[in-house]
Amino acid sequence: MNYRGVTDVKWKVFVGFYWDFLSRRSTLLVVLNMFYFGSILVGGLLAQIPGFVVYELSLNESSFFYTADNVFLLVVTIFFFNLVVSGLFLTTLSGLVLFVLPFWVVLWRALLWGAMIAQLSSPQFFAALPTFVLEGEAYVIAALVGVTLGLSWLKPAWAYTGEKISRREAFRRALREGVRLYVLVAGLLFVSAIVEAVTLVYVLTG
Amino acid sequence: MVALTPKRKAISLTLLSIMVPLSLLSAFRLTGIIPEPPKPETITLETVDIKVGRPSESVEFHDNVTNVYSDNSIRVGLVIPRYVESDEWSGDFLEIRAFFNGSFSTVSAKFQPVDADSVIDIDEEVLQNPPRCPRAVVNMSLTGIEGVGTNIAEAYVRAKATSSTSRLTIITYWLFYDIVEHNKNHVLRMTFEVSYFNGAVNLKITAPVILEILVAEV
Repeated sequence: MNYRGVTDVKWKVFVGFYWDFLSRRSTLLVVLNMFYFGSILVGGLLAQIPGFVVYELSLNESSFFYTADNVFLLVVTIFFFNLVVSGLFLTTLSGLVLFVLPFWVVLWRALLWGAMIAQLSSPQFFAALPTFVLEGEAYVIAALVGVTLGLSWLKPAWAYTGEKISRREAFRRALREGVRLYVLVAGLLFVSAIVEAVTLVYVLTG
Repeated sequence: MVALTPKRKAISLTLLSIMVPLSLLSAFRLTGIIPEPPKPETITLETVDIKVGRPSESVEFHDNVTNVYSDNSIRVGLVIPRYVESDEWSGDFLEIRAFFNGSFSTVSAKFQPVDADSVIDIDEEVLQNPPRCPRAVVNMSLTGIEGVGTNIAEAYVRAKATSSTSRLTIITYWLFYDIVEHNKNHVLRMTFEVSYFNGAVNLKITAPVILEILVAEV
């Protein structure tokens, strides 16, 4: 087999893993997506209730990070914060404690985002949407990993339907799959960090 | 008609679950159901010009308060408690206390000595609620400070009020270099800017103050 053939096979295996995992959990993925993006819509509508938003968002304060000179630093900071704090600790590892927790983390974040985006002017609003989509989808997948991890030790039959599998084996498998899925999550968050940094520096505060 | 395979169905549903809520959100913004945020109404107050004769010795000023702006939601003002002559550390200086009481606002106080023979020095310790000034900063988050020390063109303090009962006291010392001669007038420009939402309207209040120390006895 020539080198190109090996690369093609590896690529297909790589993509195939994601497709296989997401297909097997397509219902949960759709539910999480509807939960998340629907909550952004609900948050935006709730923000119209007088008194719901008690502090006006201000994007014009001077900040060390919000300058064109610091775009790279801003990208790195946003990426690591989103990946480690928001994604891994809050969204995924909360599912390890209890599988329903990622739903609530996702819901809370999306409501806040919806309330926040409703306070932006229209140009800022539409400029921020790509960030919301990319970052939101990354958190949905992170939540999917968290739910799978939580179910794997609590109820393996729910995590791996139709398979007879022990809790230990289910947990190990969920962990392996989770690590590989986090490559996709990290990729999405990295792209969204670039989009967010550019949007922040040149559109929202410029 | 092409039947939806399970694969295509999953892809379609996933895409719809993202596109439908975001499309609705965009449509609501375009149609005004989620309206544009109101633009802040800016109110620039008339410049308050305060003239004080330079005392010949240290003196306490009692009840010397100038209310720069107040309404139902906020109160922003200025107090000049004392003038100190020949302090062993700072020489001659006038103490100025700028205060803010209010809710959910962003506050900016800027100090610019106009003449070349005076400088402003912000008391940074006060902003940490020391025992001598325990309630200087209540429910406020400091977002910027410049002017701890001397010899700069502009000093400022910026903060955000994080609750409905927030307060901020800024103590600055306006130091004069003509310690022996006392023969120069000194001018300080101060600007308070407060941005807040009073429940109905976004407001931005700008209150300029000019403080002059004149060559004269009090």
